Amino acid sequence: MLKNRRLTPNMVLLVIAILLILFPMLSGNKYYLRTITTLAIAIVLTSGFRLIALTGQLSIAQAAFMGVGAYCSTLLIMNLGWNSWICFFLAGFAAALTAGIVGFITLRIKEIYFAIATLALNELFRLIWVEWDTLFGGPAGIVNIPSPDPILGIHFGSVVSFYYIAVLLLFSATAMMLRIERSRIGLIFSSIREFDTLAASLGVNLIWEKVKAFMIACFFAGMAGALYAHLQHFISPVDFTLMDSVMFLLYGVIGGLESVWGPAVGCTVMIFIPVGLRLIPNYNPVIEPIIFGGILILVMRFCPGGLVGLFQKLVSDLKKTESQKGEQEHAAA
Amino acid sequence: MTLQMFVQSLINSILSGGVLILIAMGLTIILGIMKVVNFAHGEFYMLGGFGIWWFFAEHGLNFVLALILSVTLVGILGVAIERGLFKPFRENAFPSLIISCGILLVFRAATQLSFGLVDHAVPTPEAFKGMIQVSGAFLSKERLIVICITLALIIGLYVFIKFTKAGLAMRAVSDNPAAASLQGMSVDRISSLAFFIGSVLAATAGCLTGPIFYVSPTMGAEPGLMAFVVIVLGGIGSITGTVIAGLIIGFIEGFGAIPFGTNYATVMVYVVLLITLIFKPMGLLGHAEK
Amino acid sequence: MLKIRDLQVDYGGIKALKKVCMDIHKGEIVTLIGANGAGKTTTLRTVSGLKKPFKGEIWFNDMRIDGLSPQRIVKLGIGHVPEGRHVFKNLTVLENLKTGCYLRRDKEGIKRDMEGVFEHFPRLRERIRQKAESLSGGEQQMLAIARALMAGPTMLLLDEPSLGLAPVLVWEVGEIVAGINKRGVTAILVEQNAQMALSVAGRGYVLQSGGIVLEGTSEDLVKGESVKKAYLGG
Ligand SMILES: Nc1ncnc2c1ncn2[C@@H]1O[C@H](COP(=O)(O)OP(=O)(O)OP(=O)(O)O)[C@@H](O)[C@H]1O
Ligand SMILES: [Mg+2]
Repeated sequence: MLKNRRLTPNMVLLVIAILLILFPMLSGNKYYLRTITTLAIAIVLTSGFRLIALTGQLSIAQAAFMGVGAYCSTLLIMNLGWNSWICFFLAGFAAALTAGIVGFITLRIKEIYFAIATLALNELFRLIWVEWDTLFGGPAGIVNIPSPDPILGIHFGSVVSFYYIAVLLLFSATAMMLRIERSRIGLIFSSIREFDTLAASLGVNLIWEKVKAFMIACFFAGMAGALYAHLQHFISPVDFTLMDSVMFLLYGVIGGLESVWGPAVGCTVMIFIPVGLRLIPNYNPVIEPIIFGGILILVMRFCPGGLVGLFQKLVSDLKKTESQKGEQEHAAA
Repeated sequence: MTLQMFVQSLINSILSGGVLILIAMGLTIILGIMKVVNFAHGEFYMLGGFGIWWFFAEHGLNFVLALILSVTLVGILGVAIERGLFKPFRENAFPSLIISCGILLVFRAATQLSFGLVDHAVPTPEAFKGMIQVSGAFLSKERLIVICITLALIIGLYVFIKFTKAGLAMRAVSDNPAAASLQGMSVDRISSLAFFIGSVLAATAGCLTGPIFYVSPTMGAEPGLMAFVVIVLGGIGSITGTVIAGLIIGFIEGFGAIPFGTNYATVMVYVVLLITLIFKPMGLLGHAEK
Repeated sequence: MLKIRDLQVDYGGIKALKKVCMDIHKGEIVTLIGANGAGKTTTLRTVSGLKKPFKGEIWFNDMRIDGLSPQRIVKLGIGHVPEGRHVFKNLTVLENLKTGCYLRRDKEGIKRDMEGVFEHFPRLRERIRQKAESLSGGEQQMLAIARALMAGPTMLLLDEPSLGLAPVLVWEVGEIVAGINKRGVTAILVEQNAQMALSVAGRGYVLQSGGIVLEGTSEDLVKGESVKKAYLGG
């Protein structure tokens, strides 16, 4: 009786995947398509943040790595005329390479010191983009970024095509995260977080494992950046600020960093709340941060495991009462 | 570099260094005693600025009175926030960091809603007006006075922490809260005291710089961030480290800004921070736990 | 002087103490022995207010003290030297001693007690301006005891003061406790080294998984077969 009602995570995933694929055919609303595209990018970034957090490091520079990808692919396409699909991957590699170099140096730093170091890094990248205007276009950024090159006669440029690229990116990033989660690396990552010195004494090369997580996260951040550049047709340093990096952290916390699904849930809720609020007439968006801040405080106070943690707790409570009920019925019979 | 420029850079360095130290001191005390990471600390600076604007510029109160009033109010607000929001997360850096982000968002948006996203000017008090000439260089009296007050506060805080009974208790609690409570110290009260001092110092910095710069809802962002850079560079929990790091950053900003531009000066600050952390992962004077 | 009645303490649902009863009289040294995890530390922590009991009563000089804050309990005259030393590492020796008399206002008395402490522990006087973290393990333990004495307690709770010390020092600690007791301080001594503890203490309680299984004078406990086997090495 319980069994046929039970949904496995894989089934949920499948349903969501099918819904996402069918969505553009069901609704032509460009605004929602664009919102979901942005959402997919945010989830990719937040999942990356979470992956790094699994190794016990708090990276507040994910937006900067997204920017590295965005600028890399844009410059290669616009200055050298390279194929945008190659550049799409190169953006990921560029971000991962940067992360590798930076990570190898900075991942020895721990806790709040590391958080502040990454925060400084994000600002450093932004200032480089602002000041090196001959290459990066300065504060005005780079305009007229073309749509991706066509493949096999399929043109990319419509909102729907970006939507599908974003969903594809989201799927591959999520698949990667799931694989890591269920593999040996995932175990190593969390053992690093729990017992830094213990893991070291067991012969896990901490720095290398941390760098690996950092590079994987930044690879997807870079690809998301390249996609973002095509989507907006315009990038500038204000697209990849410290505040954006902090946002990915906050989305992750609201969803719950313990679970792979946390980032997706957190981003979805926090991106759709403003969408809903804007339907209210005479709505003043200035109050959005107040609502957001309030949610953060409430989540931390009352369900530190985030929304996913809250959900899991509710489900386990429900199961408990149900099994108790079952026992009672048994006893009665 | 002319003498005038040199002296001006010197004054600006000490001024921005001093203001940073004032903000960062509270941050490092709070972090040391409660292990609370308060990203909203810069907002106390902002509220101090708005206090002086509201009481002094808008309602014509005497400057000193306006300063005392706004600083006290911000201090009380700080204690209220500590009691209501941070207390359950003492000794727990990550959740407190998230809570503080929430507070930051709320404060910033709330002030923006109340006073608009514009810069508000605070007039210079009469007593601060004018220039002083020292061997050929002109110095603004206002900046000199602010520097003197700032230095006096920093020294006062140092003496308080090093030589008073309450200061001893603060150091004991930040060293080992359980052992401190066995000596009869109330960790709750010491935490509130730390938060009070921290928010008062930040608010004072806001009040003092109000007439020099402008007052706006986002004015706390940059100093709040830089204060973190200061305490991390100096080593968390080290008062001396905070002073040294604050002066280093003040001097980089003060002397770098005129020849290279503020952005390059900021780049320099971050580069110095990163290089220091690579070689000294716990900052200049920080030491590892246990 | 101290009466513990049916004390129950738990950590998140896991019972650490089950119905512990004890009586400590003025001027005594009483030892608490038991295996690791028996609940010795928990007993002391509950008496000094660091841990709130689940049920039961604690009376100190006819005043009920269970559930009071550590500050109130220190003020009443119970000093606690916690397990694992816990001196303030970044404070100097002198500052550590000053934290001990945080609640006291009588300058004269403080001065007198400080002198007394230095007489007792001359090595601390030599290191008065040194940071506590630079002291040796034994010196840190002396400092922790001295700090507790600075509050002028009438009762002292000592949690494994000999832990990690060289065998010679273990007996020195025993003598120190006896000396303190001679000056009128009642003491509860928790010890791994039951031999030392029983030689110093007049009476003892044996704790086993959260309950008292045996109590008696030191002579009786030393003679008793079960204690001999379990805690005195045969
Ligand atoms: N902070 C805590 N959280 C959860 N359980 C605890 C905690 N402290 C102690 N316990 C449990 O309570 C029981 C009693 O512990 P306690 O520290 O009082 O033992 P002890 O007799 O002092 O042991 P030892 O000789 O090792 O110091 C143990 O089972 C221990 O696991
Ligand atoms: Mg113990």
